[in-house]
Amino acid sequence: MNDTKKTYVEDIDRSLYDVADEARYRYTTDRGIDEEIIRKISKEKDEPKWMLDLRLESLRIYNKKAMPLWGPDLSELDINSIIHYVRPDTDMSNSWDDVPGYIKDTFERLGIPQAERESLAGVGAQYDSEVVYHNLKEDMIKQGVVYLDMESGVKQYEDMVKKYFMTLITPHTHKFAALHGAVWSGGSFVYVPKNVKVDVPLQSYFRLNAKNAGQFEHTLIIVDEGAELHFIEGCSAPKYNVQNLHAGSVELFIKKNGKLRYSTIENWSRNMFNLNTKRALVEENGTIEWVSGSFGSKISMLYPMSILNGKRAKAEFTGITFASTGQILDTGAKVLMAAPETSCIINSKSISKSGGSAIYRGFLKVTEKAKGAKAAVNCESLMLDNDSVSDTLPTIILENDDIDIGHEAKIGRISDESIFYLMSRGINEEEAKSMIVRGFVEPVTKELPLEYAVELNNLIDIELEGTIG
Amino acid sequence: MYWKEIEQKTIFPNQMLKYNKNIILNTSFDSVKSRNEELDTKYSDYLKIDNHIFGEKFLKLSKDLINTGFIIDVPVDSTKNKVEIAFDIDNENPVILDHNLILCKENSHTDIYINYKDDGEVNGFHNGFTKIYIEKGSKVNIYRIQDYSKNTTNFDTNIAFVEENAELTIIDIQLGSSLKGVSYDVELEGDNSICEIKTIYIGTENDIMDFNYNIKFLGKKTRGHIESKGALSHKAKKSFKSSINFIKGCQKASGGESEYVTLLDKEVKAHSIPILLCTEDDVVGEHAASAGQIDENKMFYLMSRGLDKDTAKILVVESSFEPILEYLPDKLMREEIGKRVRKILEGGKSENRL
Repeated sequence: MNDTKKTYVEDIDRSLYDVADEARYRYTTDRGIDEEIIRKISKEKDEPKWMLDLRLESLRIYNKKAMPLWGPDLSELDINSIIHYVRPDTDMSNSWDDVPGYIKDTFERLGIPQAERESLAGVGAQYDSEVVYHNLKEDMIKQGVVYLDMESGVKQYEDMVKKYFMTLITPHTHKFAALHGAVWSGGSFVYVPKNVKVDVPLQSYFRLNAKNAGQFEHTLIIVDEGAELHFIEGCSAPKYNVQNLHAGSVELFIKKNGKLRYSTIENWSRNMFNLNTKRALVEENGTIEWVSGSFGSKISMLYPMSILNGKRAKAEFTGITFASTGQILDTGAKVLMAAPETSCIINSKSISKSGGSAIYRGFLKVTEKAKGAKAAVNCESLMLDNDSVSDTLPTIILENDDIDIGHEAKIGRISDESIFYLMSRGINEEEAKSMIVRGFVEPVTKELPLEYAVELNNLIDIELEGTIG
Repeated sequence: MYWKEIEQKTIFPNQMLKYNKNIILNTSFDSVKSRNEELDTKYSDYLKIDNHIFGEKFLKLSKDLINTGFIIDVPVDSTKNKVEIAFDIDNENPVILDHNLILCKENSHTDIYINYKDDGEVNGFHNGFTKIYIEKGSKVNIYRIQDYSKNTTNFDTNIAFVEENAELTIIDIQLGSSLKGVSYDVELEGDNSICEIKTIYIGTENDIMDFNYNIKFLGKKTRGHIESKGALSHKAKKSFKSSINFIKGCQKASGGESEYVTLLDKEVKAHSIPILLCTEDDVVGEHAASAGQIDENKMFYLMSRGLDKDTAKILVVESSFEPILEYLPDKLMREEIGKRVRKILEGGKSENRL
């Protein structure tokens, strides 16, 4: 058998993300988790009592719940070694000039202030456990858009937050949701009033600088009737030789005729356990669009879920996962279609190389009430060597007959026919292969604003030689 | 999925009951024998069962409670072989616990027909376990047609090993039984080995069924496909799990699975888990699963030709099964099965429902 040359795809260039700042903290809790630590966190935040009660109840649930019996092996994760709360030595500001130089430099390097100037309506920047910078453009404020750090949201919009907070992702959902409920800190609260269309995205960026720490931000977004919003979330951390843990929660409520696009570029370091939970509840004629790029972490378990609860509610998921050496990225999408004429489209791509594991785990359930439901799921996997793993594990549960459901998945290499076709059009072999691989990630790239599409393409620096596979 | 429900509703035999019927109906060669002590000893390594996909209870049943079975040992270079096996259930023989071996030696060709029928009245129980060894260059077609009545519970487990340049084709048709579990685990061990599994199933009334089809690709340039077509009506429930597993080293392998189920009533339930696993990059793998009602355009076309709605539905379902039924070499058999499919689905017509 002829040996085929393999396509070489470089690892993601992490030099930008791996610069760690010297540790300067105002307050940290001890390692591990117990009631005393929870009370200290709550006191530090000066929270209302109901929030402390929620934290303590979450802790009780966390202590009782077992680790998941499926998915990647999490036995290496030592929760008792994690520092669950790290307060940086600064207060929150709405001016970059007031942010300490070393923190500001970090975010400058990551391009956040520049992006804010050029293309965003508002930015929240979280450093370790607290939001250090938050700003929303004046015209948004005038239209009644609320974009606050979560702690401020709890205090200033207490009734609204209390109504929604941890109702979609409850402490009972799984062990790490319970952990989150106990130690959450930072994150964003967003409310878009009826019929307000936020034309320019809002962005939150989460930077975890502390060694052996956890980040547990909570994002709560309510898009009221007829409103529209694009929210972008980015995250990174420098690499250490010890564990870091990310167990954030994202709860999205899209009301009747509302539309929310939620984009994430995740680039955690290779020592990170990324156990994030995201859920959206979509009402009549509402739309949720997930755009997701997963590049970092040692182990990721991430399955954004859309609950289509209103007639003609829609969900779209477009995601790319890139797993390299030492990474197990177990990601996917979940959809619950619980109302008539709901629809969803899931488009998932993955690349695995150099021993990385890219796993797509999907769940699609169509209930008895979801008459006329339609769903199309498409998964494609590109494996670049046989040290890597690529698995597709979809579960489809159908409970009525008036549906139209299709799922397909492919795995393998780029076909010689595709390369031949392009070469016959005058394109040289290297360029042809480059085009095909870039085309592979294009469905995700095109869903992002230009600046972030450029960043996504920069994250995948591709050199090709020989034939892929 | 529905496995717990099936186990809970199944009445397992609590004692060994003899099976006195002859299971070998017809054979064109003399290498087919009913199991006996001497043969069990001779083929003990082949017959060994180490684990069972349906769990401990079935492992015990398959190892310890056996009342019949066949051993087919096809000699090297022997071709044009045909075997017909019947596992019939009646009042005097209500329980079949079979453990079988199919051993096809190098470069042999064999067609094996296995039929399952009962008298329509007895509450029967069938648990079968078959090991299949397809040696180098040999070709085997297995045609399995299960048409028990609703009163009989049916479980069937198969494990197959396919060597270099060998081919295994399985046509598995599940028409009857209200509680059933079927599994096929195939290992394509040798280079250039091939396995095709094509299945048809129908579920009506309160039927519950659990299907597992798995192909593991070990050798280079191996090919394996699983194709399934089904129809569910009334309150039938089915769980279909399949896996295509490319193991590192199986370069140039290609594999796929596709499942389509037609849903004929609002209370049916369908679960599908089509799994694709891969640790080898130089392969082509794909899977597809889809479900839905019958295409409106097809219905309109047929009804505009004078057919009533139910008859049009039955015709469309039958035609969806045709591509798989075409693999049955016997035209009479195809027609018989077509008639059975029609009759079963007609039993689900609106005026016939309780």
